[in-house]
Amino acid sequence: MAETRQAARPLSPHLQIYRFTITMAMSIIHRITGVGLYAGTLLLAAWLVSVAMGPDAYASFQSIAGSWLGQLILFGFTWALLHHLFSGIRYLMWDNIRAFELRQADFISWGAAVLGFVAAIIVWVVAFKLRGVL
Amino acid sequence: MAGSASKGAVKSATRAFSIQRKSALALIPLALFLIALILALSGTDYETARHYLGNPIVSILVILTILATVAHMRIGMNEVIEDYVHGSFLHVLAKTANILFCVAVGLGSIYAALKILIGF
Repeated sequence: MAETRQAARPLSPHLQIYRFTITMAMSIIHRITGVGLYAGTLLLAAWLVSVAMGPDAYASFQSIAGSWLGQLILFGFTWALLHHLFSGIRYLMWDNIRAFELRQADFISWGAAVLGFVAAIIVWVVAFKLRGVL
Repeated sequence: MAGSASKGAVKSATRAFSIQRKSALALIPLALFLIALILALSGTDYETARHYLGNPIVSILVILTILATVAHMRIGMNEVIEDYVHGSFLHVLAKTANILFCVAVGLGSIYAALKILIGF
């Protein structure tokens, strides 16, 4: 009985009710990339531990990281880190009441999204160049 | 929300807010440094990687990056847990797991960085 009464009550509006805005999308992506990077710290730890352990462990790490799945995950990690970084700078700006007008807020949000993606591509182009692949 | 009426929770929330922002600021250059380091070492042999990571300045920067990262991500995940994980048991369990994960990743990474630097 409690359940039927609960179902009849008005619900507070949730995600699907709202019109898309870039600030909303960036807020969600900021959180998702944050959680992804949280898990990704295991990669950083594994990298450092493999170097500390010796040549064999490092070779194992490199072969896993060098596989297509490893490369895909590492690209995702690079993008998530750079996106979270640029997206996070917006929050620091807003904390200091900078770019707080609606249009400015939209502009820096699109800017952060584009910068994060472009920066990730640049990092990987440089990585491939350094390895002589490109 | 049970504890938020007490002064202690308000203080710790302010402290978390402050640490979150300070670590974010520190991580702007440190994250870029980390990307540059990984980029420089991507696909290199073991000796090169060990040589770079055995440099005291690089090592200290790596350890600073780890410390700032762990401080930052513990607070971030705490916020996520507070938003999505309800029920007192699950809530406490998730928050405990968060602390354990952050300490484990932090200690493991710093131990490895120091081992490369000092070679014990």
